[in-house]
Amino acid sequence: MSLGHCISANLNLSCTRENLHQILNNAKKIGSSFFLTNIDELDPGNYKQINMDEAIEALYAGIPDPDMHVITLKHESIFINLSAIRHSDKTMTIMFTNFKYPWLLSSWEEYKLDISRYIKFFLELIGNYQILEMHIEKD
Amino acid sequence: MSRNFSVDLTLIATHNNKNILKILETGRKIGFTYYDHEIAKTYEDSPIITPSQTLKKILNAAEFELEDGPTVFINCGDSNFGFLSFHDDNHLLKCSFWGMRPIIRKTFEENIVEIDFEFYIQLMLKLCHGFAIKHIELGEF
Repeated sequence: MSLGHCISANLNLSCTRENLHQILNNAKKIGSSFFLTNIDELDPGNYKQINMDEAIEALYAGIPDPDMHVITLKHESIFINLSAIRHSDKTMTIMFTNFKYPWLLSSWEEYKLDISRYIKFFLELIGNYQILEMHIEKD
Repeated sequence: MSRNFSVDLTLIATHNNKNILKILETGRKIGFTYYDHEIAKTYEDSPIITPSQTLKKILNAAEFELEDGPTVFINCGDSNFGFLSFHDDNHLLKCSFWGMRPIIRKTFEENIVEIDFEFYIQLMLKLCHGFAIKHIELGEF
């Protein structure tokens, strides 16, 4: 199941391989693994798993879209797309989209995403980089 | 001119007394102190009030449309002060923390010293624990 949420943060950070490596390394340190996003495949569990270097290149080189470099992260039971967008030489945006097998607020009768948990995960990836803005959007 | 910052969380929850009190009580559990500020007093010298009294203060402010609005002066942690306010955002509860003093800063890349928004985001997530979140906004004014 996919929900049309998006969490994004503008960072005071250049969109370089080195900085993307740091962000992905932050994810790896807390147990995330990386997959090549395949929009033709409904189940992200069938995506091809990639290593850190391949993930950096996928983000950096623009697969599948040169304007929005997407890979898929698996963390615990969830899958989520991670994108990086270059704004200027000094700033970039990272973004979570396409929440699959999502974390939910268990105490609610209605179906609600546990956005708080996603934000905490997002902050883990950002690590010590400076956050300029943060947004949550829903289609 | 001093810089002011804010962190706003819009919750998927109704703007009502029960939800505001729940947040105020969570705040008390994580170390927030609420003050009954009166004009001509310094904030820190104002009497300390309970979450229930804070709710009444907020409701009074909303009822009489006081200039400060439904806002309460708070202390969080040892020496971090600020204002907490609750607004009705299209029937959803919007919780804002603003006017932080001193501003918690961090040294980032290239020795840039700036506000540590992560600290305040984590603080707001703790404060609004258990609520579904619709929107987050970081501001400077």
